[in-house]
Amino acid sequence: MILMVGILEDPVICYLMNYCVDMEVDFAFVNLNQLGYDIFFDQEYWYFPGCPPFSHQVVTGVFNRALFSWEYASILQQKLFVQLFDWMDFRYPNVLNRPQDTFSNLSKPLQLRWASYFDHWVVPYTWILSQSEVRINTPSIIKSVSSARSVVNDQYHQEHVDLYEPVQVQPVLDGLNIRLHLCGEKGFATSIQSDSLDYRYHRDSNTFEDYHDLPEAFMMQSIEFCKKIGLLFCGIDLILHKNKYYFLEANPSPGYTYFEKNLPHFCISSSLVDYLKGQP
Amino acid sequence: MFMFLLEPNDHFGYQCALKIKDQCHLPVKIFKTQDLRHLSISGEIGGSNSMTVNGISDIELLYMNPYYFLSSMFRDIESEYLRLSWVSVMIWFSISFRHVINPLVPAMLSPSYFDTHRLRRLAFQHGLVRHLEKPFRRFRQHSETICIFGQAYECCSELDHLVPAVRAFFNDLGLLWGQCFFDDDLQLMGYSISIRSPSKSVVARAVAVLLDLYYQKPVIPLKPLSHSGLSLPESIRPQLPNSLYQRKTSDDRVI
Repeated sequence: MILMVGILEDPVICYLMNYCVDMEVDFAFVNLNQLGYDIFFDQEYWYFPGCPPFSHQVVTGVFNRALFSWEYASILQQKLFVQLFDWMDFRYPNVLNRPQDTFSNLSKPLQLRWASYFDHWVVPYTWILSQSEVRINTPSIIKSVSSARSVVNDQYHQEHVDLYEPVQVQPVLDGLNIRLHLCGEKGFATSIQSDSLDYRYHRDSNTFEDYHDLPEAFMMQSIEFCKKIGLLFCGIDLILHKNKYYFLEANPSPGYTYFEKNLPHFCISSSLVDYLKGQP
Repeated sequence: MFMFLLEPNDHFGYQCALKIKDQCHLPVKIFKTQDLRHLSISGEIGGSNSMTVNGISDIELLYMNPYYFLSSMFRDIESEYLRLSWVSVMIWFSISFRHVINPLVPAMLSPSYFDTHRLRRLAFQHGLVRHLEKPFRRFRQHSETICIFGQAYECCSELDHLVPAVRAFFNDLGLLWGQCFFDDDLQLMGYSISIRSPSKSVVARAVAVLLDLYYQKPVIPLKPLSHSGLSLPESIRPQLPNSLYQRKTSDDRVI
């Protein structure tokens, strides 16, 4: 039995559940909005409405999409969330990804430092600045230092900028956008040709290419990197610029469906399900 | 340069900073943790990996309490975006200076990391409590304490035999320094990341460790005492009540 943990409004978890239905794979959906109302668990069993209880022992893997803030949840719900995180962090097998491992993404400078220990890609020259007045001489972008998403629409060049909260300043890198999805030992690279600075927000102008052919040594090193940072499933953003692959970030909860929907196969979903079934 | 990020109630940290500054005459900079957001920071990645904080570029040792960034005190920053930004910076700080006590490790942000269920489990596994359900609190009236400063420690001789277990317990929590509190029965009743009610001998021991680190005397890195991170031999290790408590296996990893 696979546990799907998330909310119904998340298109990624819905997409994977639909895939499981098509493939006739058993799963239970832990809708976090219903946890503590219709759905409960204790130290031995899960309880879903209209179904017999099932034991934690039958869970072969967990797809974790618990990404939202629970600040306004009831006290009972908050207790259950913490216990569920305990199960996902320390007890269940095959969790994609364990909550505690996803927080490396919260610090982009940390990720960049870790990535800089690998030499198969280049880490862009990056400034982390706060409460600073700087002059930007080469075309650069400014973005968030945390997992909070920042839309990169503007580039700065030959100008003074006053920076208050912590930000990252990186040079503009023109080139081919590549999203590398890794699941365990398997990897799938997709390229996206786009005219915009941030292709995620200008989807109409994007052109997808199936299977970007990354060198095998590159794939092996990327898998090694993900193992080191504890992410068994992740989406690495790269840019191919002047024949070099630049590392941008590794997303621990990638919205992979955006890419897979544009491709003629289900390789990513298939590897996820294999892993969650305990057949990596 | 020593940099101390102190909370108002961290008398131990303050005494250490003053002793290093006034008695050892070494450069020390003290900042209030809540003033962090007003500091000017400039750091570089992909080049020299250099960093300056308020114009100081030679910080060798940072003392801070990671729990501050996980606690309600940090909620003074009104915007979630800003809070995340500063947590990100402190995680980055934690790997950027030669020595950081205690570092903010990303995994600490998981709600289960310092959860009571986990703490009880770890205390039980390391033999610090005899029953899994023993009430566990971070700080209460206690009988005896053990202070851990990396490889050094301070406690009464009666507790000496528990030091390896306490060290392994802190190791599992990613803490280099901390204090454990014991009841009359010598069972763990709580812990603290910062040192509470420090005696002169505790401050002196801590300062000695800080100076060792500063002068780079050989320091043995803190690591698990056995392969699994448990302090007791397999044969006498307390058994958890059912198989559900077994540690993860199929994708276990070590960074």
